[in-house]
Amino acid sequence: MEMEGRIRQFITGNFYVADASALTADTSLLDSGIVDSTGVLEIIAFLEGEIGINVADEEMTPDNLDSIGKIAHFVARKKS
Amino acid sequence: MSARDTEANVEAALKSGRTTFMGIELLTGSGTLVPRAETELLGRAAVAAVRERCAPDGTARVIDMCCGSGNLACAIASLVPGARVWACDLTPSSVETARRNIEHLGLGARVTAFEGDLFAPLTGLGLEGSVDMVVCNPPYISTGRLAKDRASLLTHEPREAFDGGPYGLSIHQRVLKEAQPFLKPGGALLFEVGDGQARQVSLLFERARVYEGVRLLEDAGGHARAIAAKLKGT
Repeated sequence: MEMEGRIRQFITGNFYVADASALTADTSLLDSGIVDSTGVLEIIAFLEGEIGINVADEEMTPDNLDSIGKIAHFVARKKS
Repeated sequence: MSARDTEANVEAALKSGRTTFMGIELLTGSGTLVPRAETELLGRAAVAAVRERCAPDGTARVIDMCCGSGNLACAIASLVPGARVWACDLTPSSVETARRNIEHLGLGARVTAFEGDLFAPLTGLGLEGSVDMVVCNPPYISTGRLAKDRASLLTHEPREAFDGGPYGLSIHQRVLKEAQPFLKPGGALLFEVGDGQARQVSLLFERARVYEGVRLLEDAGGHARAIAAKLKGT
């Protein structure tokens, strides 16, 4: 499965997403209330455990993690 | 306590200029977080952790990070007569209130308040590797929630007291890292956490890899609102 699809599957499977069809690659996970301080570490655990990248504390930012598209780009950068 | 009750208590404390925390009377000040009753859970755990670590002569070294009005620093010093406390806060108004409280309670010989960015004002004081406990009630509301459902918190008190960055965890992350050089092996690190945030902060402790014995501390309602661990290497 391509990366955005894997990330989408993880997010819709592990967080409350009221309308999965409205969750685009650009939807802000913070603004939509899907991820807050009660969820970001789950995303990190997924990226480190399932995707196989290491995420430093200083990389735990909305620039890298606030949408499916941003996460996919972040993963691509880390793997390149 | 409901958010409305808390807001009423904050207003009353700021109007009277006084409040009570862990049985001691404290002065309040504008631009300074009014101590919350819920923080007594962290305060009681901190007092117990310091007592466990006192040297045979009864002394112990404590850092109160993000001290606000100095409530934790003053309560610990009042309840543990051998405790020497270094209290720090970023905002000048909070440090001023903390200094007023230290004087008000006659604790000037054992409690000192510093202004600066987390541990920065403590470097060069010879504290590295010698601290028995760091206690921290950090800002832990996410920036987004302060703009939405928690915006009322900013009516009477400063943003710096609440804003924990985009995920509400930025200060916990920094303190976990920056406390390490100051703590003795086996020294304790205690945090207050937001409701529902304990698991995330517990994961941050695990990711840091240098702490052990992580314990969640629950309030009377069964909610984990504080967390304690110790630096490895007893």
